[in-house]
Amino acid sequence: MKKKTKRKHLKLSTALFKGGYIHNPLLTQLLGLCPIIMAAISVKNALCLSAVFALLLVVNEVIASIFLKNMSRWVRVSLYTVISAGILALVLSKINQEASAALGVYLPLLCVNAIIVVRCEKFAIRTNVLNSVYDAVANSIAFLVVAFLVGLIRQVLSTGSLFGLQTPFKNPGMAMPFAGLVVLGFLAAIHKWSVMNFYPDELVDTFSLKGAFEKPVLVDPGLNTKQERAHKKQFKEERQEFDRIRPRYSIEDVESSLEEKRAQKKKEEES
Amino acid sequence: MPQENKTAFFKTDDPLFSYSVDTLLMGLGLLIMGIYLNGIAALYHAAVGIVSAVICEYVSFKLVLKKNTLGNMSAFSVGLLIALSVSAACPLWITASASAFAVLVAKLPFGGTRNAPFVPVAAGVCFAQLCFPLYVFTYPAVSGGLHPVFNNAEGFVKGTSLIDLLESGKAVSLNIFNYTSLLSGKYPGAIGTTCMLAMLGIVLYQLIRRPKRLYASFGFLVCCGIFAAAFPRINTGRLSSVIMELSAGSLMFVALLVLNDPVTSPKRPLQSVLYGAVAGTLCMLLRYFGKINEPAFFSVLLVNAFWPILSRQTATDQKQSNEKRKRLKKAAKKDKKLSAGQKGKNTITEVLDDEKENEA
Repeated sequence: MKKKTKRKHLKLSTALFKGGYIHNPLLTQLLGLCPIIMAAISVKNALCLSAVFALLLVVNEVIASIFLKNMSRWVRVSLYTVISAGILALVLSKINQEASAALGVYLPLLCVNAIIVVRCEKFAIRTNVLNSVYDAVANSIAFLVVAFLVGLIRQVLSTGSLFGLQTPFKNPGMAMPFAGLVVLGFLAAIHKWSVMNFYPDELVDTFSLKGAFEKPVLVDPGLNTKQERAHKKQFKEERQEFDRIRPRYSIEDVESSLEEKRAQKKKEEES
Repeated sequence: MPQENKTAFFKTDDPLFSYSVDTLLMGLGLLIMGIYLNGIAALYHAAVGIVSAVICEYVSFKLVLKKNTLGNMSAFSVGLLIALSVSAACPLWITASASAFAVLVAKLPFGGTRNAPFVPVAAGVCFAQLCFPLYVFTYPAVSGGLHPVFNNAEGFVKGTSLIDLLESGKAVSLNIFNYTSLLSGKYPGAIGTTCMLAMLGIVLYQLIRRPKRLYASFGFLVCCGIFAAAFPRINTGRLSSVIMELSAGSLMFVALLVLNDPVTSPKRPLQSVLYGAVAGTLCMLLRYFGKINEPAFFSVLLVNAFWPILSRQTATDQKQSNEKRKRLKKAAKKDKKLSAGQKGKNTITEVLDDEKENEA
């Protein structure tokens, strides 16, 4: 009998599909929203943000997967910020001044972006360099797509122009933060609808209202199918256990069970 | 439970239908006063608001392949209330876009009126206030007569609203003439928000038809009144401050027609009063320290967002009557005692069963 060989490296397509689309950090976990909501008011801003974010994420994940595996968590988390700040200090001077002025404080704030910390902690420190690079690329592309769409929609609606083309409707209010939240909400809804319809098996509700009791399953793109199955099984078992333990105080349940018992007693008496 | 007639367009059995009809009737009274005070422009706004809301609801529900909910008249009431809370001088497309926003963003994505976490009217008005503040807060001087008062029309005269007076620390001397002006709504403001006489009519109507709706309004107004009396912005006395704060802007309108929305507001009296009090506190804080001219609608949105967190138990409490809850509490207490003392008898069903057996 042939032994199944474990795949050591993650495929880029798998990383893109799972990390970038199914578990898009912006649309499923709502991580790192600040730059998108506040600064992505045009396509140019969105592209600039995405480029800097990609650079920070790739470098952080590579460093985390090579050097930071044996450190304690509190040191690692502070190191991510220090590394990002160092990269930004080098990069900021080379970015076009007009672009960096348009982004304001939200460009330097990328160094404390939650996605960087989460991806490094959840993935990069548990895997090899190549996998973490793939993951960083997938997440950067996910960020780019969302930022681009938000920037595009807000630019069209707020300025009434896109690449020189004029549109009849123009509402300067769409450059305000609330519009960013509204657009992002619609994108998240479309994303969830597409996952529900095309990949229902992959759907994991990370924002269920029972979040206080349930363990959200955050399947890393690096995990192989066996581990994934184990994760899902564990989640299912925990949920069943929770349902069993949870006290049911609704009067309807009590009354129905009482009726059942009465019916049983009657049957016994009759017999 | 009454069976819903599926073939009829108007869902008369639906509680939301009767609520919307009541709102429309109350809004109609305000609209008549608005037409008297602001001219025919008020009627145009109302028509545009309603038509926009209805068309948006019809088209959007068609697009998502769902049956529209026009039969419960909620779209009509949303359109009318939005039209009543904008200035008569602002262009008609602002009313149309506010109505469209209320339906397309605050109502439809959540599955309709029944599931909307925010009051659609408040969302629509806030959208207009944030995006077009210059238009929305430019009120025409009240002169009466059926003439257009649009911002770009000839002979347009800008008026100073009560809220502008309060912000600049100026007061209206409270003599009989000014009281009459306040009651009849002769101070500039949004179309349906200035006439206090019409607001008193609404209070009477609600007292007769739906007295429970007034709990939230009561909490809201009392809280605003206490704030106005404790921290007056004008130097002519506390009573004057209370009267001016309550009749300025859309405060009364929001308290009586927007805050007590049946979907978002709590059902129990004490919860409703607290809900109104939180909204009132937020409204006055935003008025005192915020930059927005009319924050009453924002306070409603904020309380909509925070109320589910503030009262987690509301949803479950609403379903259970007081008697049932008492029984369950007793059972739960016994359950604890039994689980501590006796093994094997630790479920509520068994406790209730034992009780019934003992009674027998």
